[in-house]
Amino acid sequence: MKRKNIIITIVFLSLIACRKEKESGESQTTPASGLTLDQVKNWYQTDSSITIDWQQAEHHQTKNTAYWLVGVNGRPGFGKLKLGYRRLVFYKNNHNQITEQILEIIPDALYLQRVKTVSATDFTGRIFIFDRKHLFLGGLSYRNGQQAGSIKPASQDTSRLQVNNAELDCSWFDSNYVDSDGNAVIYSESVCDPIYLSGGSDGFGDGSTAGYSPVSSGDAAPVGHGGTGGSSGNSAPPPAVSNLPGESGPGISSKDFMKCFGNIPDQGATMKITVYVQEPWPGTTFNIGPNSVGHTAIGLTKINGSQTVTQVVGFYPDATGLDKMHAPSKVVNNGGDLEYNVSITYTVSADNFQKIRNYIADPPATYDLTSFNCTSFVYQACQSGNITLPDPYSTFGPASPPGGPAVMAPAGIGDSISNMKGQSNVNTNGGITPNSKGACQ
Amino acid sequence: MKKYIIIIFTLVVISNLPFFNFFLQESYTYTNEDNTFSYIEEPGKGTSFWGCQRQFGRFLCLHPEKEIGDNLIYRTFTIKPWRFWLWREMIFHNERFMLPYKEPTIRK
Repeated sequence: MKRKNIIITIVFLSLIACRKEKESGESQTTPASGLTLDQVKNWYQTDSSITIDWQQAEHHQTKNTAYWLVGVNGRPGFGKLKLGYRRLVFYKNNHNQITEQILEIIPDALYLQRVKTVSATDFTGRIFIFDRKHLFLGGLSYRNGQQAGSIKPASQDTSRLQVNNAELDCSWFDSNYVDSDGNAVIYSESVCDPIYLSGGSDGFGDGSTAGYSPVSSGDAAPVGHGGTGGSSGNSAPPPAVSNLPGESGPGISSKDFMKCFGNIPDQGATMKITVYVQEPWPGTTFNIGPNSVGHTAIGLTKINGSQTVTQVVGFYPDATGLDKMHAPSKVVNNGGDLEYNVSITYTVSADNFQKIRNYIADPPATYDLTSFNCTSFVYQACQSGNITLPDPYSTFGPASPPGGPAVMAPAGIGDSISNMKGQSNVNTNGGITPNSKGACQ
Repeated sequence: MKKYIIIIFTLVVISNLPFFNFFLQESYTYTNEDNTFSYIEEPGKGTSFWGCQRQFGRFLCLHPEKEIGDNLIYRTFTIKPWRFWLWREMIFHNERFMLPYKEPTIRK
């Protein structure tokens, strides 16, 4: 049985090894010509909307041409997701002139989820091509590393578009996405099933496209730096792969949450700030315990007569797994569901309340477990309103080794609040956070 | 062989300890039929499935019309049984995994 499996494996691998390499889709041949980075730099006219890190330029040589790829700033949005990245390609055309095109490479979200690392051999997604004036020229769509269709600027009546070298069962449909400059790009896409049999160039550009292929000839460069941590210039890397799109869950719009306080007049109002702490290991100073790392949330309450608005929010990483250590941040509604161990309440002036509101409405963009976490967020929010919380620092580590680095943490602030037991504004009996009102427009 | 089994078993047990919930568990998300309710469970950071049930109960109180025909809660996360570090949750706290699945709406 074992021997049979080995034979099957060998045969399978042999079949793969014998597969003919996919043609690059290049038809307009240009003699391979040298193109140095200095030539490109001398030729390149600075585009104020694009930032280039020439140090990260990558040189590629195919059968027909040489080209340079550089990562640039900006990130396209596709299907409401910020997905993909942007690159510039420089090559020599048929007339031996240096030409520049902008590539927006957008991997398919589910493909990215599945493979985690984008590679040329199995790339699935779309590549949009623009000229140096950001004029949309066209593009290509790929499925499993093979060209599956082509993309052209949308016309009023796409049914009249001429499709060259397409099989009869190809069909066009209109779609759109938002490019890295924030402009909506409306295009027509041809999708052929199973494979688009293009015999030549797709004709984008000025007709003199020299024949680089964004995902061919083993060139992983244009799409090959996703998730592997390789050099990518200053181009935006593909998003962290974790779950299906949307699975990590969106945060709330803290701005909309804070707007609710504007519905109650300041005159005669009482405003309170409460800090809720769920300690990792209640009663100890351990930074990790049955409640994992614990949590610190902030509650804002404004009372004026019979009108009351309460919002309880917390600061979280917008990621999953170990990516949570350092990730983009999100604010989450902690109202009504956080079982806290200790809390402390302060009455503040309208002016200071407004400052805290403003801080929460515009939270820091990045979460870092050690340098800026949920406790840091709450601490800084209170600081902005002239409230100095009890010492939030704790020695990071499960056993709090002496001499270790101190960080703001739920364990630290929870312990400090516990030590204030007996004060009228301190609750050491725990409870559940009050419900938040929610968003207001 | 026995040594490897012990190592694997130890790894599975340790990875399932609640201490590592924050690092190893995903943010579970829930919604209702028409997406008017949504909830994010952040294991290891204060929230739990109990909190989700509590919030959904409050939501139904505030929107009694949803009690009729739309009072089910759906999970919008997929079950990933190969994640051995979630086995404790799947076995001992499996309520969330028993919920019907609904495609998540793509976030902005």
